[in-house]
Amino acid sequence: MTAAEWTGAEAMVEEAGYEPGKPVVRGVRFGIRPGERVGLLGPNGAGKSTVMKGLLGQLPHWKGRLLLDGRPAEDAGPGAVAYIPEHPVLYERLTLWEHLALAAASVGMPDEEFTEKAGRLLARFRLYGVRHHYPVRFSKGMQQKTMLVIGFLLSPRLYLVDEPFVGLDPFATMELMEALDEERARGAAVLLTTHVLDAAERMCDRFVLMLDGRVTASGTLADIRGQAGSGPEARLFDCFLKLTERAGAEGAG
Amino acid sequence: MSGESRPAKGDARAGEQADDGAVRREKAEEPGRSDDPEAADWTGEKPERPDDSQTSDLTEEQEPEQPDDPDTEEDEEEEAEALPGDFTPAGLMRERIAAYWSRVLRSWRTAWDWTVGVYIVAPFLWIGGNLYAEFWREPPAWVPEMPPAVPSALLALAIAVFTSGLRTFAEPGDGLFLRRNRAWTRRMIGIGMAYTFTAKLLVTLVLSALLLPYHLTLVRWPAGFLLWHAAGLVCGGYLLVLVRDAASRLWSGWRRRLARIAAVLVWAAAWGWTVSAAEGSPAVMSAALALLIPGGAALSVLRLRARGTLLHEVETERNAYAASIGWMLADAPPVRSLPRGRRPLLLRGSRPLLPGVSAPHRRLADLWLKSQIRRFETVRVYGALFGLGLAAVAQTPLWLSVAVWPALGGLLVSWLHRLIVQWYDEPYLKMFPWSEELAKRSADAARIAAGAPAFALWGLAVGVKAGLLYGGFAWLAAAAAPAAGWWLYLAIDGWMASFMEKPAAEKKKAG
Repeated sequence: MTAAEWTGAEAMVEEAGYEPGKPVVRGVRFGIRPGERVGLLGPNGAGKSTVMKGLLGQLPHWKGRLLLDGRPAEDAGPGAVAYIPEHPVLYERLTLWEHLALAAASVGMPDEEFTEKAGRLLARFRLYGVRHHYPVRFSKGMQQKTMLVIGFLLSPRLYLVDEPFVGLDPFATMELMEALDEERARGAAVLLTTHVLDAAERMCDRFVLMLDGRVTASGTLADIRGQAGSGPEARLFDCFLKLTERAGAEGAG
Repeated sequence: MSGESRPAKGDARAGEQADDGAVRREKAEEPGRSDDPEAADWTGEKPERPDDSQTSDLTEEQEPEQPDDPDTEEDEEEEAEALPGDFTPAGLMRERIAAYWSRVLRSWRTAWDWTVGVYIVAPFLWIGGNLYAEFWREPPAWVPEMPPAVPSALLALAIAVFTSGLRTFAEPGDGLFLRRNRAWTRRMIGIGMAYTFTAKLLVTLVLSALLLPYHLTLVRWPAGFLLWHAAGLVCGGYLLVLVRDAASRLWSGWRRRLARIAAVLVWAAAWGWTVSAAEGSPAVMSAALALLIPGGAALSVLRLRARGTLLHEVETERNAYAASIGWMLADAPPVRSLPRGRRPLLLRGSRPLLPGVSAPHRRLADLWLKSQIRRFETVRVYGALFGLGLAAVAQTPLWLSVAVWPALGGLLVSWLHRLIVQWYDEPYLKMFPWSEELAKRSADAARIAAGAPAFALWGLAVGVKAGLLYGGFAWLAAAAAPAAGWWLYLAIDGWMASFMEKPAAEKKKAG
């Protein structure tokens, strides 16, 4: 698949929450173009994870849509969207290799392709030597790498990545960035949530800053600087602080 | 002053703390203790003295002390006294033991109602009791011929199987504060040892009582020898717990498993030999107890001195809890224990078991099958089901065994179906977009792969029975029944699958 083969994703959240009549996210809408990386940022409780869960169809109370190529994501076929959760989700009695085999079976990946891709990804993330071990016995960082490998194995059009840097060592972070670069070249889009603003600034093309369940600012770094009233050299971190403080002051006023 | 800080009796704050939860009280009790490297191991940080502003009323007289200072340990022992309320090592252990049993009994209560009592427990007790009484009224001929050492060795094995490891009721949070205090830790582990010994005693008495008819009427042991026998089993069983505990801490992986199994087998064999040697030899009886009692005491002291044991103890507690309620909640995720080794004991190389795994549904079925084979609980139930089925077709008249055979197949299909539905409810499985067709085809393949061999073997048993009864051409049934059984199983499976619960993928969509 190349970028020319699809037109991108669009996320629309009218309302999302965990209890009926009590939405914690309202009126969030943004697009992700092929090969683009969008950072969904915000302080704790801003609603980032709620948006992510809603897009995955995991919320009980949700009004919104995730479109791929202008069509609902559920009609885009298996493997169109891959989710890499913040907290690793694993099965006790399967080895690492079997976890990957199961993921590959879910999208009907042919055997040869699976063996080649799985071997390459495991080597890249330095997990090949433990491919016959139980991942539930891995360290937190290795489990997180396992989730990344599973995500990359499926070669989706859209990645939904929740806090990808948590638990990763510098090598793994570098590998993650390189792998995401390759996926960008393939035309895959990435929506990631993170608190690591420096990494987000380096990795993402555009940002969606959420506060109290709404979008406070969005656009490229230059757009964000403009919305925050910061100078042209301002870091994303400074803009984030300014926008958060301003929103807090407005809320208090 | 050792550094053990205690509020004065009557101190209002101490009184408040005594009413709080155990963890909070532990925090108040342990300020600034830093003499146990275990705490640092657990938290990943060097223990620090807490903020004076928060603990000034508790630490006014506290002096910093050197870690691992041997002199201070004796002081600590003196300082581990009762605080206001019931906040003592014994009190905390009492709370934990009560909380544990309350939790276990509540879980058991969920599986109990009058129908269970009337339809399962009462018939089991009635039938089991009658069978037991009948067995001893007219024991089979081999029972009196059996050397007394054999039941004694089996009893030692059973006691090891029916009791858990060294119980300390440790909790993960203990690593934060409690384990910095060696005196409290030792007291609590000491109480745990007493608990373990008592549990061993109770199980020994119950199991020994079941063997009393044998010992009193067949081998005619005198009361003194019976008492010695029970005492040896209790002391040896306790010693075995400590040996297995040490093996678990010293080794991991297959060495650990091997050491734990070897310890049980060696103990059972040694006890059997001791019993045969001790009959009519008071010297052997005395020598055995003279070895077991000091041995248990010495190992207890060594265990009390051991450090860095918290993680092991927490794992033991988790396993004990899982064993207590796992028989009825085997599939509930919080009860399931993690695999013990880093690699699977069975099917270590992730290679497929089933042919044709290039097809996604076959691969999925293969992964399900392997995951179940690695789960001891599933294998145990499968083995029991197969064994009972085999007994049912072997022990009944031929016409009845032919009728029982398909019924057993239905039972097997139903049980496998339930396992597969649970598999699709696993969080990891739920992450992926399973099409209904893929889920259904893989479930069909999995049920056939797991169930058809057992069904065919039951068929073989029916065929062999026909051959033994009628001879001649009836032996053809022995050859034909397994093959026919294979096709019959497919028919039963297909028929049952058509009306069993809706496929997992559909259920997932609905959920």
